[in-house]
Amino acid sequence: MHEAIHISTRERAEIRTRAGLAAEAVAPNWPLRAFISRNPLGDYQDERFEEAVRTASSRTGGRGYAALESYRAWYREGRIAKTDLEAALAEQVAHPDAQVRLPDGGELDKREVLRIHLLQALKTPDPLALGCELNSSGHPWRLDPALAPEARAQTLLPNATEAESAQALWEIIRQSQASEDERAAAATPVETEGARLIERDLARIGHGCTLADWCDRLFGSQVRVQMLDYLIHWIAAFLDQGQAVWAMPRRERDLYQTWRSLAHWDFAPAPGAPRGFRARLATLPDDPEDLIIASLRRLGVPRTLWQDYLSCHIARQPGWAGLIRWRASNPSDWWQQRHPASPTKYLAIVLHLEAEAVEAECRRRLGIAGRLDAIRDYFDGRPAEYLARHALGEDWLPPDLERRVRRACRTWWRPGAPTWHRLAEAVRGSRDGLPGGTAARSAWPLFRLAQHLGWNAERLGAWPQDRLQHVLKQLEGWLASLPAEEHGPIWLAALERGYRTGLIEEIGNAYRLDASPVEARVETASGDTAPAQTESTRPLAQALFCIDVRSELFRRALENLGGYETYGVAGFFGVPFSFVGFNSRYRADLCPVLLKPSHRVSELPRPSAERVEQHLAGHHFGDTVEHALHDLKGHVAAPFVMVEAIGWAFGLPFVLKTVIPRWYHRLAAAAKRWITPPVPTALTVDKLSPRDAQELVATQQRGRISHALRKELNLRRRMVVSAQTLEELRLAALSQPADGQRPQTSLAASLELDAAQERALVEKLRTEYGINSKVMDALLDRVTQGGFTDEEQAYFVEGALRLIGLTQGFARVVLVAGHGSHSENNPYESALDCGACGGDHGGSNARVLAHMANKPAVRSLLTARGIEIPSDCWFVACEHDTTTDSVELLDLETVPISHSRDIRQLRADLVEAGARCARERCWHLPGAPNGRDPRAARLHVQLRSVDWSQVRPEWGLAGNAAFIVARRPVFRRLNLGGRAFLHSYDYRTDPEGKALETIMTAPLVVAHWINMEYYFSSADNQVYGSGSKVYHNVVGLIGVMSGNQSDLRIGLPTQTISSRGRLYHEPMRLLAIIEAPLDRVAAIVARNEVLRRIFHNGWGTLAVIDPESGQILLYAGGRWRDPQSTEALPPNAIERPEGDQRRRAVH
Amino acid sequence: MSELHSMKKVEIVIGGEQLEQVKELLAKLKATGYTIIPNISGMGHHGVRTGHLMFNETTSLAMLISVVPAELVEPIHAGLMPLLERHSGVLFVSDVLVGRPVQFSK
Repeated sequence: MHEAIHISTRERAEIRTRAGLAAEAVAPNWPLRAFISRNPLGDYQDERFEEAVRTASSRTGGRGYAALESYRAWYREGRIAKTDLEAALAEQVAHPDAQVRLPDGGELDKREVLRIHLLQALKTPDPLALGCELNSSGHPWRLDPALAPEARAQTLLPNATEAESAQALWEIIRQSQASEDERAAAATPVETEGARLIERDLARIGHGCTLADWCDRLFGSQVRVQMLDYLIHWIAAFLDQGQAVWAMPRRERDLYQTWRSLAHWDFAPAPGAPRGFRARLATLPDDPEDLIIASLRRLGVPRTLWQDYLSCHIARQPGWAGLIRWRASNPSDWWQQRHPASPTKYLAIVLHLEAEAVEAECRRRLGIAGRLDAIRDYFDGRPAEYLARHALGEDWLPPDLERRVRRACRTWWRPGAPTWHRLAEAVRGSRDGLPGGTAARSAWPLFRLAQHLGWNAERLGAWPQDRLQHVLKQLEGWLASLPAEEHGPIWLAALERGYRTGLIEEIGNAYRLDASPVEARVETASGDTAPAQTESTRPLAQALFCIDVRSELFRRALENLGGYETYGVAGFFGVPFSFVGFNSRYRADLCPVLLKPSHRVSELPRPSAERVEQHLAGHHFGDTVEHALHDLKGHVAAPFVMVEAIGWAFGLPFVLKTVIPRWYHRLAAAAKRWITPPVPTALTVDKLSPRDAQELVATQQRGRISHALRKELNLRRRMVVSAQTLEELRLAALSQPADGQRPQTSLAASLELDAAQERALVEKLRTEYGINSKVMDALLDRVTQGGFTDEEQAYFVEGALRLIGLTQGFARVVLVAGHGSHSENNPYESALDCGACGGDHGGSNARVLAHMANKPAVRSLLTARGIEIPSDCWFVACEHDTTTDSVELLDLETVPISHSRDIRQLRADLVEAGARCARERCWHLPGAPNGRDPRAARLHVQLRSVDWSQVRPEWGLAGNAAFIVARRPVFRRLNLGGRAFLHSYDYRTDPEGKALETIMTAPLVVAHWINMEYYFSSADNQVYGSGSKVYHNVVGLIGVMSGNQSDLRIGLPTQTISSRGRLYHEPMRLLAIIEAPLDRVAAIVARNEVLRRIFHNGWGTLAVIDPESGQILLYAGGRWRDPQSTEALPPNAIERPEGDQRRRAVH
Repeated sequence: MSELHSMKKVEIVIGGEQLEQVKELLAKLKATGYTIIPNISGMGHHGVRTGHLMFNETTSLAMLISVVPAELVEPIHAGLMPLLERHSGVLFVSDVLVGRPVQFSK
């Protein structure tokens, strides 16, 4: 069938691009080993936030705001103030000041009505819900249970029961509501109503709805679920990265070809159970593009809808499709190179399955082809049938009528089958005949509103009928102007407004106080005190921390001990490199995922290191045991013998780590130290000179030749081949093969090899052992890529220091703190690590920067560039464990003896600061001691990190809401509660704004991603988050599924953002506060599209502290304004550089 | 001087994020070679694009230059158009003369 279709190269190219664009409906999904926070709606940022969440919702079904009940709970608890809610209403609703005059005097505010609407969700109930509220005679049997006591008292009639009062009020409102709607509905023929339904439903195809969805809705089939189930087991097997014991065969082909060549061996029924499915697989085209086009034509999807239609399918499985999108955009990924997957290949399979299933369903149910135009033709002549079938899909029909409609669906083609017209009439009659009918449903919101306004039947009964109707009509109009789906934006604005106002006010006050250069004694919320310190005193140490919100707690704790200055900078310290740890087989890019590092750094044992051999042997032993156990577990015979044979070996640790986790952890760590004794290491930060690189490669090659000789010539183990001989052979292999006149090597002479045998040996070295000039060049290239030149090192150190404004006044010790986390049994561990280091630990980045900054040659270069680091200043690397708040100092072997006292003091202070920080975190951790004892807190957080049953080792970045770019004094006095990313920046040292532009276009953007990841995971954890950890199963070492089969889960688990059913993370869009001249910030925003998209389109709010005036201004929706006002500033208030005035397109 | 042959030069300016997609398109169409100039600056419908940012590879623009036989221009155009409808970028096609056409064809 497919061969007959002609498809041109042009069409193939176009559909390929369209498939790639369709994948933008979901965010790329990184494999789990490096969890990367990203905005799940990142590709929708061209639209305004409100529109984007609406578009995404139509595709994924995900909610763009927290559950309305969460907002209402925060309102009741005072987290959202009434004034903020009213201000948000005033900003977002048209004519908020409208009023209606009441017949008995007084006026009613639209704002008051809408506030009640927001709090009580006064929506038209569905028939079944209304049925529960009304008794058999169609009257309410109680007042609204959510009624405030005062309103209840006013609503109750004197000397009447609650039911009587409710009934009387209901009667008045019910009767005053015109029953025109009911009459109009009854007068409309069922055919017209059915035709409207057809039009509405078919118009949704390609706009969030596929033909498979339409089938499921109308026929009650399970095509969509069956398609997803079918796809998951194929895709999970194909994308597996080493978890499967039996890997899928033929994976060296791409996703589509592998499926095409193997699918006929899959005997499970295909979605929709189409006949002849397996036989038709043989006729599928070679190119996936051809299959996509053929399937779209087969489904009859209009060409103008192709792009959107493909997006709908991608959005159906955001997890798997997101991973495939990531793979396609990373062609250098090891797994992608070997087993390529792309949206085109994925969509080809999906669309073929859909076309087959829809065809089967339509043939079976309607006797027509599974094409959009055929479906339209069929129902255009049978609107009543559509009405009845549609009601069946909605699942509200009474049992007897449901039976009749089902029978009609089965027997419609038989002579004497009931006519669809009669059935449709019955369906409509049943709908309107439900308790209360259509008019009653529309009266219900008014009935509830009247109660919350404190109106009773007596008062309304006294109003003239026409005036009453006028008032109710007005109220109904107001309620209709704000449907429930538009409540989210108002609640969000109110929540954000409260936080924003408070923070800006605090920062404004702190900014004014900071005018005084003398630092007062600091007292924190936790009661800690810090000794007085003046600016002129040289600090005990300066510390560079990651911008991560968790650093804020630690920095505050450390500063409060006195004598410390802290700085915030992205945790990779501006030095991107790929890293191979000692004895590791994997290379990790330790930088933000948007960067592709061009430098390599390796970790090697220090020359003085002892027990390296023992470490390597122990490591090898551990690896072998692990692989053996893994293979054993997966072996076909394992279930029969393994439990009895070695089950106890698993049982003992199981019991120990459950009962005494801390002791078990210590025991296991000691055993590990015994088997693989720790070895001091250094990093290859410095670039090798060409001569050293040559020598390194030559050494490797000589080792290889030695190995080859033993293997090829069966040399005895004890026979020593001299270095000179090896070098002779190496040079022989590297020289031109045609060189036949070469004299014999000393080895050939000593082993009495003739010339031919020697040539054969050299040729073998060249071809099989890679000792040739081509490989030599490649090795040299790789070796010289490692490390940094002195100039590069100076450039990176200068960049990091200038970015944070630390260019003078260096302390004796500058601490460079990376961070990471440790937890047990946690597939999401990397989500707690450093995002700026590619979801890895940041210790290595700290070591690299410290090494560079301590190097005398680099310091000389820095001096020439105006940054003089005194000779008694030493950079010390460390890693902050955010789960336990412990800090490990690294590379202490290199610290000069003159700094011993400083290090001793620093070490003690870090322990103390860590304990205080742990205590503050424990106040918010469920199940943690919330007393004032730092030691108890420290023990508790240590236990959490080793407890394998702990679903929440720490809160991670939950709570994040702000990003502050300023000098430290601006926020030093503030307790920001671990909710703010802090980036140091001194506007005075950056007159051109280049450093600020880097901060705003890189760290700020990453903070925005993290913020959005937490936002959407909290807003709808089932769609944008990964649900409960309890049901997670790791699949293919690439991600987790819920249960044994589901979409690959994206986003954060429930336990990361909520506790005991309540959101801990309050989802708010990022508030960026920057201390810099207003025109500088305005110009940067204007010339960077990434920032314009965030701040123009409402994905975040920007506030600027203008240092000259001290004024704080807000930037939102493309305009500047005072935080207290809604009026935009006139354009001339923001002076822009000349260059930014030119805004005309040239392309 | 040896004989010169007429071919088409295709210059594509595209955001760094879309570069892989364009490279894949050319590979699929068997455009046998290209040159990429990364981190370029410019101004157009989407405003000024600078080339000195930290996330340059994805944030800034790149230019991809390829010389192809005339019959490949249409498929390249068809494949690029949907991309350029959504993302910033431009496509220039011009005539060029080359000495060794075999270097630029399948």
